[in-house]
Amino acid sequence: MRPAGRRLPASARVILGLAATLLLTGCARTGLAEPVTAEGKKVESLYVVVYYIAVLIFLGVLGAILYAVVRFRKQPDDETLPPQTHGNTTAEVIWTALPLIIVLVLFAMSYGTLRVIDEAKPVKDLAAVVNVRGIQWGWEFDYGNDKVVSGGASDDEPPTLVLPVGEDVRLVMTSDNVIHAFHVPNFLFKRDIIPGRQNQFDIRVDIPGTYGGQCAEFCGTEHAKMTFRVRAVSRAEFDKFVEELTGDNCQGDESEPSAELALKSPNNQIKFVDVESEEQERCLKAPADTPVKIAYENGGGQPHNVAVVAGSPSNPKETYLGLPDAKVIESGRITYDVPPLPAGIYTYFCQVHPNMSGTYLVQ
Amino acid sequence: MTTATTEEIATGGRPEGMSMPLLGMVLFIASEVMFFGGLFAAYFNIRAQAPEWPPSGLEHLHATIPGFFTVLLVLSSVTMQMAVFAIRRGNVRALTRWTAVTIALGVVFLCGQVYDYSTLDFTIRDGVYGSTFYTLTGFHGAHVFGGVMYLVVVLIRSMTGQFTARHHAAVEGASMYWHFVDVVWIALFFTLYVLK
Amino acid sequence: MTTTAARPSAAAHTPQPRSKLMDYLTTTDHKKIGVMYLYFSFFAFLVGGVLALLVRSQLAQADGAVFTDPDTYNQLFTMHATAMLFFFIIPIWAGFGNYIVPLQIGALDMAFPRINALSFWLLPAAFITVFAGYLTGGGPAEAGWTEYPTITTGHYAGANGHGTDLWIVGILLVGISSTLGAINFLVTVFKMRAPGMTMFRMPLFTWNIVVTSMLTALALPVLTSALIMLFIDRNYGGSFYDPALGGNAVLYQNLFWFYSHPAVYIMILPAFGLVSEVLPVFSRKPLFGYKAFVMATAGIGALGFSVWAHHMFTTGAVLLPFFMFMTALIAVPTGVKFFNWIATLFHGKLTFETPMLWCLGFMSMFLIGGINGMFAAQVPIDYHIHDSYWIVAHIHYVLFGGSVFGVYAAFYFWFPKITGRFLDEKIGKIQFWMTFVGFNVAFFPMHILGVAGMPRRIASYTADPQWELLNQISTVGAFFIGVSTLPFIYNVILSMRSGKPASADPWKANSLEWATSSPPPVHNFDSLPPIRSERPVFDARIEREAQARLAAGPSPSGPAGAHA
Ligand code: HEA
Ligand code: HEA
Ligand code: CUA
Ligand SMILES: [Cu+2]
Repeated sequence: MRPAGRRLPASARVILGLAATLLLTGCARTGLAEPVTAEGKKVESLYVVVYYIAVLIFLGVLGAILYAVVRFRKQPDDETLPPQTHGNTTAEVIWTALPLIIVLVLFAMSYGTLRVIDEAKPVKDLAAVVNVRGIQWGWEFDYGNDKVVSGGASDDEPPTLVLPVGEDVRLVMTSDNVIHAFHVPNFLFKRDIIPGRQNQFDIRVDIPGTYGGQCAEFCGTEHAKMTFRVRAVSRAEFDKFVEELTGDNCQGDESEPSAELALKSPNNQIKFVDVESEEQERCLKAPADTPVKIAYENGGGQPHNVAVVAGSPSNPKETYLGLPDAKVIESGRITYDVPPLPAGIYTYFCQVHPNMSGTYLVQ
Repeated sequence: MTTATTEEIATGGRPEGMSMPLLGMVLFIASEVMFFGGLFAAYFNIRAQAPEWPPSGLEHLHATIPGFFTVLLVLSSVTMQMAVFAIRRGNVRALTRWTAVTIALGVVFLCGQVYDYSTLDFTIRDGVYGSTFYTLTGFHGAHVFGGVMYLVVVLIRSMTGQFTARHHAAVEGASMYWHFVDVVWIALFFTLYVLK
Repeated sequence: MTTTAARPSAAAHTPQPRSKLMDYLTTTDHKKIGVMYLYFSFFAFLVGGVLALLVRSQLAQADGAVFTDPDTYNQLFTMHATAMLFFFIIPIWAGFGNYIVPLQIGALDMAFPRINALSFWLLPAAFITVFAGYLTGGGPAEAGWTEYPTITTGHYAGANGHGTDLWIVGILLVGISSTLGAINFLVTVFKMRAPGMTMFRMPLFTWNIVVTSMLTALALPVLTSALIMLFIDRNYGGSFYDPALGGNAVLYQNLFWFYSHPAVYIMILPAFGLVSEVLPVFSRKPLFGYKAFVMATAGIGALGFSVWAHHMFTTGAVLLPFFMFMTALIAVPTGVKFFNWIATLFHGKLTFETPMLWCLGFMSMFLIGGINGMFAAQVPIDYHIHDSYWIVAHIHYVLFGGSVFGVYAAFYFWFPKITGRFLDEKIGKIQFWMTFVGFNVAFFPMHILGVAGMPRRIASYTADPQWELLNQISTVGAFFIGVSTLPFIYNVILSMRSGKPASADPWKANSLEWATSSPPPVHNFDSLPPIRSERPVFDARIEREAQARLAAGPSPSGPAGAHA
């Protein structure tokens, strides 16, 4: 007679076998968004390895449980007690050490990946620096020089962030109100946007295309509608896009051009402000063909300088004021000299923080 | 072979070590330490990221008058301990006396706190400086107030003769709590008034 | 005869007849208080469950057409988690702890019976306070159970109303209740153990309540401080968390998780303890590696204090490698528990009564929850899955597949002790399998949604057909869990009236709660067996059987492998 308990192994084995084949034959990526960035690829490889380790642990442990359940059932007429074992030190050591080793391996792999994806690239290697501002409930993508694309929950179409493919770009994130998070599933990445704090990360999109993105940190009523898109295009197309973005901070600015300009950065902040009003300064107006002095005060906490270029901070065509002449200061005051320039639209910015920028209008 | 009866169970298996109320008080104080730990953590976090401390427009707090009240509070810890020593010897009258003195010092300290508040030219609404200052000192003040209430109970029970050299867990508990409140104040005094 | 009955003086005078209701309202008996905890928190579970079903209804369609105002939805998931965490899962373990811990250590009551009653009564007060938010104009709290600033400090109309203030006050009350309860448990266990009950003979459920209580006593006050500062920011013009005025929004997160991570162990450790009680009973073996269990429990508790920032990996404001490593390290003591549980099963003689079924369900489902938590612990992966449905899957695999399965196991295991009657086994098994299936249908698809990028806390989502399908499956599963709750309620009502009567030790169990009648008398014990190991009731039973055999005449063999 076959004991009742012995009939289950077959079915259990079938279930286990099925599960194993299912899990081990490439459903690791099930659902996982297709990575399109260099960093995302790294995360994907890590995810897949962790996935297999996880499946093995799961099957191993669950298998042991099922095996015990099937193998060690009490027979109906058996009223004797099994051997009363209380423990085994060797076993204890083994199953403390085993998870510890797995944990160490996981740590080594994750830490390696983390260093790569969190690495900050040198500013000079960046194809673009885009300021991402989270607002309730929408987005502002600021390419410097007040070239801004914005939109939000109340618009028909979500705003689109355009990025060049194949080159590193930096996204610098700020918020004036609540915490949001920049999340593009296809980047396999997100980063919080926190008021009072500047977060940034560098990525390289490798595959051209349009990808959906969405705020991932609960931020109020329309959190669910705080969507955006990322369009990755060739460098040429990107440059053209930025070029054509109308962005002139000086529109609506009534101030008179002056050869004696003043700027300030408050303590520990990454922005230029007007010396008197302390409001963010986005427009400097200078007279044409006249040497100009910019009196600059750094409130400390962050190194800054002031540079003046034609073009954008990430893609200057001509530099009129810049390193090494435009010295970076940690704090205190300094005066920068801008050579005489013909009338036109220029850009001023900080070379340490290229996203600190504004329009330098020569009239 | 031993077999426990209900009487044995009822007296509790563990007469050794601290009495139950006292152990309860120790644990309660441990949790209070963590509570103030949270507030202090907030304070130092905010202070560390502030460009200047105190913020421009505010003077560094004057330590003289609060310093005087600090001495009073430390003194009250001494008098409280005297009360404990008294009852351990079984001297109920001394217990009553020392407890009364401790209460008086506690009340004076609270008055001093109110006075100190009245001299300050900033409020809880004035940025992080005000928020942290009033929250920390306010919650400490509330604990002093709670301690005074507790001591008043001890005083009444002492006057009605409820304590003996053997049974005075409430006094021990009160003293422990009072020392704790005192230590918190010393930490507060140094961080808020002295540390530059 | 190894136990001598002593006539307790405490039981000598019978209480005057009073109405049963008044009796419960004024009681300081740990057992009655425990029962009230159980009723109250199960009620909160139903409330939280109904809210969850509303959440799932909304998510059944991409456009979220059920509640057109997203704020209504935001209130639903916030209050769902609040009910489940603060009013169900934490208190229900306090309830079982209240009933069982004094019995397990052979004590007559908790150390401070009146404070114990206060701890309980604060809970309904807190519940009413929090849910009174529904009566205010702005509705209840709606910024998630985490209530992060700065949405809660004036930047989100939905959270500006009194609902959020009521939430804060209510949770502060829960905090006082839990802290007092924790101190009570600790003093009870340290001071009131029966003679012979050394710390290392304590049942593991009691051990886990000890570690849980330590976590509560030391971590909860930090949440109290965080919430008080939040309250000051909201109502008295404070600026702790307002960056515009020099505050720091991330500060709140640090303080909040300093409590709320240990809190997840507060929610799971008692279940670990319960499993460690049930498996030996139904395997007919002692727990394998008792000391290792105690160490692992303490280890989980200690490590629990150094991992809080794994909820903040994407803030860019925390030390990533440290928290990543410490978080993953918790798999080691948890693994020790798992392997010892399995070793307990091995070479046992297993039977599958409902408590055992729930425990086996617990082991397999919490395993998934622990492992998917390990994904979140790897920072690069968490960058992707943070605040996504993967985390929602994690939450429910550990909390439902773990804690709630443990709660059901506890109900089936201790119901005979508490009421003197068994819960019906057949209905129990039906309920188990329904819940098991419904649970996996509801929550497994969330992993796929998570890695596909669906964020949590959204009232509507992209009309991607795959997302919609997975969400619909999940909703069906959720309703199936809801339905599976009904047999349980039926079972409880039925069994309380006409269940199979249970003896003092109906499961042939090990720990002291089985040494007294079912239900126990007011004074808990008429007598205690001698306590010479962590299985006093087992020892006494073996000795009794041996003597019975001796009395019946010489027998060729003793009980196989009887523990000496
Ligand atoms: C009962 C509650 C409970 C428990 C026990 C756990 C246990 C764990 N949790 Fe979980 N967690 C929550 C409840 C819980 N969690 C909740 C509610 C949230 C969300 C909060 C919110 O934002 O609303 C959360 C969120 C959360 C996050 C943040 C995710 C995010 O927001 O991005 C992380 C990240 O690290 C995490 C990790 C872990 C880990 C590593 C464990 C470990 O303790 C698990 C360890 C167990 C095992 C690993 C299985 C058994 C072990 C073995 C068989 C040994 C061999 C295994 C290995 C070597 C891997 N949890
Ligand atoms: C112990 C904790 C616990 C438990 C048991 C549950 C149980 C459930 N949870 Fe919960 N959940 C959380 C803790 C828990 N949850 C937490 C912490 C969050 C995060 C919140 C946040 O983001 O802030 C969350 C979030 C959360 C979400 C994500 C919301 C979002 O991010 O937008 C969802 C979505 O599906 C969900 C669903 C469910 C479901 C379907 C159940 C089911 O298991 C419920 C089953 C249903 C019942 C048990 C009801 C039975 C009752 C009846 C059938 C009626 C009978 C009535 C009478 C007799 C009167 N939960
Ligand atoms: Cu912005 Cu969510
Ligand atoms: Cu955690």
